[in-house]
Amino acid sequence: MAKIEDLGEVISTDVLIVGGGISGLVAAVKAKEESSKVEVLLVDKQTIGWSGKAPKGGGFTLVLTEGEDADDFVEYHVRNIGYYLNDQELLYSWVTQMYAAVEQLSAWGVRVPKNADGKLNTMKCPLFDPRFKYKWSIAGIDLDVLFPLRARARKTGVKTLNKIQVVELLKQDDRIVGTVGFNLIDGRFYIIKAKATILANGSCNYKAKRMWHSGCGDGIGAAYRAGAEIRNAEFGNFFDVHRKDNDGPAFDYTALYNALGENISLRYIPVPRSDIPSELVLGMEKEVKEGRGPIYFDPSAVPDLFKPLSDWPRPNFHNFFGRTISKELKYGAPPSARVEVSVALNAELSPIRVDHEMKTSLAGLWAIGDTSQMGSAIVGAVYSPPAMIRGIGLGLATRSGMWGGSSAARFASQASAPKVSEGEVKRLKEVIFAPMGRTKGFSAEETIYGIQDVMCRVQYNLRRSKERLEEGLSKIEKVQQRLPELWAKDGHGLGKCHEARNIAVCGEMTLRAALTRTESRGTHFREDYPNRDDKNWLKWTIIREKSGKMVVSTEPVPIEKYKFKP
Amino acid sequence: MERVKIDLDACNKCKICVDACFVDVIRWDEKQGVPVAAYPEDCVWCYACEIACPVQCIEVVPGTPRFVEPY
Ligand SMILES: Cc1cc2nc3c(=O)[nH]c(=O)nc-3n(C[C@H](O)[C@H](O)[C@H](O)COP(=O)(O)OP(=O)(O)OC[C@H]3O[C@@H](n4cnc5c(N)ncnc54)[C@H](O)[C@@H]3O)c2cc1C
Ligand code: SF4
Ligand code: SF4
Repeated sequence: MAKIEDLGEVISTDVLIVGGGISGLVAAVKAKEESSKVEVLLVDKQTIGWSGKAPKGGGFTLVLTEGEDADDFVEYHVRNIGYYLNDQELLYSWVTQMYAAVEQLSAWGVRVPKNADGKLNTMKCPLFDPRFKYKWSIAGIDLDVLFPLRARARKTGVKTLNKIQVVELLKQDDRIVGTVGFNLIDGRFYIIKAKATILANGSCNYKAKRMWHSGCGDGIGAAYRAGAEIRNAEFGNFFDVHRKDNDGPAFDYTALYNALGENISLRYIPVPRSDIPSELVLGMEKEVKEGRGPIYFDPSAVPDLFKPLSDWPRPNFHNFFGRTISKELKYGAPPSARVEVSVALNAELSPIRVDHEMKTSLAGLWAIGDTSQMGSAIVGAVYSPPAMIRGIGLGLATRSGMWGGSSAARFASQASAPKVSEGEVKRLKEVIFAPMGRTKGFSAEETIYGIQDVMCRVQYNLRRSKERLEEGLSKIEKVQQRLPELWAKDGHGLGKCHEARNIAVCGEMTLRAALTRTESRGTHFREDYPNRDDKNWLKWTIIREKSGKMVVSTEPVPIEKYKFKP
Repeated sequence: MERVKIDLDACNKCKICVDACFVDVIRWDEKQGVPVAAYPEDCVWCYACEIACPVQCIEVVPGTPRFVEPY
């Protein structure tokens, strides 16, 4: 039998972290803090420091400041956002630890706006619905956040590897003992043996919105195929109000008008909400279907919501947005003009099931950040981030990175050295490189478009019904049948083939879970079951792979032990 | 239209743009010793490379996203 070394580059480590975004970097630093003897390797398919979502975004996170009550936050979230599917204990410990987590980021060198007295410079979120009175605060995090974290990680001895796309998890009986993947540039095969493996490689966003293109569900697909439990996948259906001119969001969704000039926001969301509710998206669809479209966003009708945010000293944030605006002025419409809007899928599927230490259902495997925000049940019947309160993504990624990094390091310092079967590695290598052997067939782009054509449509993914979900699933199955024909000409193309495979599996799990939940709750709306059914559906959906099939079951929410009950 | 324009006369060959791209559009051409927009079709005009370039010799042209009509 071939030696494993003959199959590719073999690396061994104690803790392997897949994905060097904010959650992966925080976990790496924490793992080393937990035990300096533990070897930590951080692997990313792009370049750590620049990759992932934290450098692209709004740069703020939710925190509770003095006088802001954690119970009050949890109660609002459970009753108005997560609708009783939350793990209330986890939500409580997260929100009470967020202020300290941001202070910790700052201590690690991250640029965080502060007051003269050294306390965090916080504010109430000014965006989305100016009528909504936020009771909780946000703190700023500048967009270069990953550089100080990378420096900190390297200083403590964390090793890093860039441009390695991890594809599958390695198993020794029921324990996860590392991963396999390939180098995007030279195509070399990598076998990484690890005592503990942490998935930190993001959510699935279906490549539908430009700034979210890095989220392809690679970790979700790998975890599912290895047999990990997936929880609450039906809620990974975030549709955002979307500017047609620049593919960006409309930050005040109370300023939407139909073609007759009527304000439709107030029609569909009479009661202020913390973020865009599904009712508004369904209302926009109704306006268009009844001939009152298109819908416009009128920035001139609202005050400058960004003003308070622009006062925060975050040079990289200002640089980034300054550039974006100057580009819009150069190539497109001036940002203040009335612009046509529609809705576009962000999805934000993050359904790997984890416990309070971010352990998955498989021994040796953790999932943090955007891979498991829904699967932790912290957010309940809604996608995450933003979980109907934006500024939750960075915060959850940071805190879950701390929890997961410490837990994995503790496990690795006790665990035995992994044994990896050559036969299994050989089989995975063949699967991974199969598209390189073909010069024609089905392209990654065609696969992704095929899945987008289902998932990006409100009729399948938001205004759901048994009939339409089954129709959507059969369309996804047709695309999946062609996956064995995927072809690639180089490492970059091979990477996209595996992204496409994962995007397909993420679409399937979302719709299968949605088909199972015969009620409406949170962002899951069934036209054939339009009401919330607390008698039968205080349950989580659980998905597992069994003999190549996706099997959905349910599990009661332990509501009796939680504080807030329907 | 060229989507990611790199002015190689001004470029100081620092490779920062290669690192900056979060979706693997820009590669380093080992033979020529220059950065190259190898997969411009995947550029999502996030401008990270353009902002990071120390000599400001990159011009990213925004594209039109492929947009699936939602309804
Ligand atoms: C435009 C935008 C604005 C946002 N604004 C805010 C905000 O204001 N506040 C807030 O709280 N949140 C915001 N978010 C969300 C927040 O940025 C994310 O929740 C957070 O950054 C997630 O961090 P992460 O480390 O879990 O995942 P990511 O940042 O997605 O990192 C995942 C990493 O894994 C790598 N990777 C992926 N697949 C593989 C693979 N197969 N092998 C190896 N590596 C892989 C990726 O390259 C990436 O580096 C925003 C997001 C976006 C896109
Ligand atoms: S603009 Fe963004 S996506 Fe395009 S090449 Fe530059 S870094 Fe990459
Ligand atoms: S960042 Fe600018 S100067 Fe540096 S290699 Fe790229 S184009 Fe050249």
